Amino acid sequence: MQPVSWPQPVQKNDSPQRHRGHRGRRKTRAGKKIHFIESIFGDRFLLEAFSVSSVPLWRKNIEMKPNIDQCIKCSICNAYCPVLKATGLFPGPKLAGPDAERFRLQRKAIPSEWLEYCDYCKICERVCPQNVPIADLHIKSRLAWKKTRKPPLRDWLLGHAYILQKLGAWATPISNWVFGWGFFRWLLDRGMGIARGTPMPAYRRRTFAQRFKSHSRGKGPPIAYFHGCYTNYIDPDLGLTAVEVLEKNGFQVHLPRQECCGLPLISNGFFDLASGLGKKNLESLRKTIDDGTEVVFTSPSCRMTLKEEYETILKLPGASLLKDHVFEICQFLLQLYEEGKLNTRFQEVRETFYYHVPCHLRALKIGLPALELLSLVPGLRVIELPEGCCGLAGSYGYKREKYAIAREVGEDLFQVIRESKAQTVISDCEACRMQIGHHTGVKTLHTVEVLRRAYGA
Amino acid sequence: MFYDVIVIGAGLAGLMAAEAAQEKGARVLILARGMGSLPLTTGCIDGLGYFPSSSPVPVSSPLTALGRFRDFHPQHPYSKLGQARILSALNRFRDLARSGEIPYAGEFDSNFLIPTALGTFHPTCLVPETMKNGLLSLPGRVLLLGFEGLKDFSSCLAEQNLNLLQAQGRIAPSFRAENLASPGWGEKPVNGLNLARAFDEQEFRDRFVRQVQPLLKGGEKLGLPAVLGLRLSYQAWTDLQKKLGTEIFEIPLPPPSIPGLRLYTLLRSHLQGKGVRTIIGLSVLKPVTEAGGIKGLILGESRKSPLYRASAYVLATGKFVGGGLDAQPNRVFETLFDLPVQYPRNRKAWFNTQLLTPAGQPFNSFGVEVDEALQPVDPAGKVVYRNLFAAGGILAHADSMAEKSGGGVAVATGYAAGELAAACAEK
Repeated sequence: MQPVSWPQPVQKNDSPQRHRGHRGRRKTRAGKKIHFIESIFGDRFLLEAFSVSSVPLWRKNIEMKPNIDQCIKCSICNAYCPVLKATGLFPGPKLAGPDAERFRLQRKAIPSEWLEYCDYCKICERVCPQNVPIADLHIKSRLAWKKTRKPPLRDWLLGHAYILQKLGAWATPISNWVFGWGFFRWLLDRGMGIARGTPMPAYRRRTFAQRFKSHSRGKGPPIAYFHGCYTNYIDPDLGLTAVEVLEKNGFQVHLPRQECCGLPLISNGFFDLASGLGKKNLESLRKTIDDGTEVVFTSPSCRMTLKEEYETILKLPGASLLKDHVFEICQFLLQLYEEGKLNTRFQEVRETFYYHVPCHLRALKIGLPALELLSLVPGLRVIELPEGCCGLAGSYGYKREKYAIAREVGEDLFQVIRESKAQTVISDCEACRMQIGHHTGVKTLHTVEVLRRAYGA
Repeated sequence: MFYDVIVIGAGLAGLMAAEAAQEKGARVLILARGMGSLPLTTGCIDGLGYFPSSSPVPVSSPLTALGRFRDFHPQHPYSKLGQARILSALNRFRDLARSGEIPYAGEFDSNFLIPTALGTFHPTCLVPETMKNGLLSLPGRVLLLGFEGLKDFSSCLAEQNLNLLQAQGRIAPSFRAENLASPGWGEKPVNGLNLARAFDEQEFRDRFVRQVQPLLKGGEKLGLPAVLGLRLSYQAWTDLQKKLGTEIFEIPLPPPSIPGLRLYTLLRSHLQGKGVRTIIGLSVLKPVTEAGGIKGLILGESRKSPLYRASAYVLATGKFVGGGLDAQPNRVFETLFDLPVQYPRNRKAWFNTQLLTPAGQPFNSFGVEVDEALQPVDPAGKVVYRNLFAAGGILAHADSMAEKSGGGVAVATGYAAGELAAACAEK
C-alpha cells in the first residue's frame, strides 16, 4: 500500500490554528522557546505538554481534543472491530481513527485506502470506554481523501441507490429479470465491481407511496411516517404493516414529502449530494414538526442519518430540530406503552423468534425497544442473538472487493443462527434482514410485522 | 421500562452485581458507556498483593493478612465486607467460570506469583488454569516462546529480566527464550487476537506442535504469551499439553488482554442466557432523582429520550479510566450522580511526584464513601440515595494499582452489592 500524501501541504503560517496559537503565546515570556519546540514538533497539543513556563500546566486551560486525546490506546475497539477480524487490509479502528488523526492534523502522509474498508457499523464507538467518536473520525477523513480523487462509477451508482430503485421499480418486471440474470450480474461484477454474490432485492411495480394513496385514512391524532427507499420500492408491505400498527393505536398516518436519507451517499463519500437530499428532507419535516406531528421510522439507519449525521457530519443548519421529534417506530410505541396509551390487546403468538439488534439501532442509543415491546406479546419467546455486525452495511457488501469481507464479518452471527436452528429472525434493519436471509436461509421479519400478527390482523 | 435492578457499568464488578441480583430472581438491566474494563486486565483475580503497599515482598496469604489489614485500613471495602462475604463471592465466581469452561485455579488464602510479559512477577489469587503452571515459586527450567511479529511479547526481554530475578534468589525457576517464525498470514497482522483465534483451530495447533517439538528440551516447561484460544482456551491448552507432553502456561499481555476478553464474553453470555439485558455505548446517561431515591435514568439528552426505571441501582462505573470519576483542576467528582467523593482539598496531595512509586498514587484511592451495606454516604455518614449501591473501583480507600486488589474488590463488592440491591428491590 502506497502512503498517499496530503493534497495541499499547508504553509507553516497558513493554518488558522497556528495563528490563533501564536497570538496567544506571544504574550508569554517563554514565547521563543515555545516557538522552537513548535518547529520541532509542529503541533499544538504536543507543544502545550512540553511548554516551559512558570504557569503550572493544569492552570493553562489546555484545550483537549476530545475526539483523540480521550483515546487511552486500550485497543478494545480493535478487539471488537468486525472488519479487522475479517481482513488484514484494514489496520483497525484505533490506528485508522485516533492514531492516524494525529498525522492528519499535522498534514503528514498516512495511507488513506484503509478508510475504504471501514464498514461504518460504529461498533468501535459503542465499545470504547472513553467515548471517542472513532467512526466519525473515519468518515470525515474519508471525505477529505475522496475529495482528492475521482470516484469510480460504481460508488456513484451505489450512492445513488434511490435513483436505481426508482428506475428499477418503474421497469419491473424487466428490471428484476435483468438483475436476476446471471450473465448480467457477471458483467456488473467484472465490469464495474458490483459483487455478484450479494442478492439484488426484487423491485415492486407499485411503490409503497402509490399504494398508500389508495389506503383509506382513519381518524385520530396525526403521525408522520418516514418510510425510506427500501420500504418504498422493495418492501411496500412492510410500510403498510407499519401503517396498520400505528392505526391500531389510533393514529392517522401521513407521508411527508421525503427523499432518500442520504446515508448511501455519505458512506460512498458524496457529502455534497447527501446535503442536498438532507436539506429537502429537513424542510419537509420541519413543516410536519411545526404542525405538532412526530415522525416515525421503520429503518434505524435512516433515522440515525436524520438524527445524527445531518447534524454532526453534514452540519445542516436546523438539523438539531429533528432530535426531539424523530422516533424509531418501536421506541415510539414503547413510549406510548409507558404513557399507558399503547393498544395492548395482543393475541397469543406461540412462537420462538430470534432477534438480531442492528448496529445502527444500537448506535441510536435508545436501548432495545423492540425486545421490550415483544415481551408484551403473550406466548411469544424472543431470544436475543449475540452482538455482532451482519456485514452488509448498506452498499459495503455490494462491492466486489468487499463481498468476502462482508461475509466473514457476519460469519459469527450466521453460525449462531445456523446452530440455533432458528426458523425466523427478527431485525429492524432491512440490510441486516437481507444479509441474514441470504447467508443462512432463515425467514426474516421486522418487529412491526410480528406486532401486526399479535394484533390479529 | 421497569426493571428490579439496574446495574451501571459492565466491568467485573458490574457483571458480578448483575449475576448476584439475577440469582435472587430480580429482573436486571446493565447500562454501560463502553465494553467495561475487563479487556484491560490480566484476567486474573488479584486478592491482596502487597501490604503495606510499599512493601517489596508480596503477601503470601491474603486471607491471613486480612485481619491485620482491617486494623490498618478500617475504611477499605474488604474491611467493610468481612471475610465471609469475600470468600462466598469468590467461590461463586469460580463456579461461574468453571461452568463457562474457563476454570480458575487458586484460593483466597494463598497468592500465586506469576510472570508478566516484561519479566517481572505479579502476585494474584485466582488464575485461569491455563496460567497456573507458571508459578514462580516452583524450581525448574522454562522455555519462553515468542512469536515473530507479536510486538506485545518479547521472549528475550522476559527471559533476561526473569533470570535476573532468579539470580537474586527472588524466584525459583530458570528461563530460556526462543522465537517462532511468523505464521505467514500475509497482510493479516500477527497480534494477540489473531493468534488466539488461530489457536481455537485444531489444524493451527497441530502445526504449532510440529514447530515447537524440536525446540523443547526434556523436562522443560513451556511459557507462552496468553493467546491460546479465544473461545476454546481450556480445550486448546489441554490439547497442547497432551501433544507436547509438558506443562504449559500463559503469560498475560498488554491490552486488549485475551484472558480478559474471554472472561468478559463468558460473563456476558451467561447473563444473556439468564435474561439479563445489556445496553452499551451510552455516551449520555441522565439520572432522575426524587425525594432521597433514584427514580430512573434517561438514555440521552433529548427530552423524549427513553427513561429506564428500577427499584434499585448498582453503580459500578470504576475510577478515572472507567469514567466513574473525573477531575477538574480544583475538584474531583463522581460523574453520574455527583455523589460526595473522598479526596484531599489540597491538590498537591493528589499526586506523588514519583510516577511509579510502590506506595501508590494517592488519586488511585479516591472514590465514593460507602457504609457497610455498600450504600454511598455523605461526609456526615448519611445514606445519599436509599436505593443506590456502589461496587468495584469507584469505592474509596482501595488502591488496586498498589495493593493489587482490583479483581478481588470488584468480585466481592460487586456480588455483595448485587445481592443487597435485589433485596432492596424486593421490599
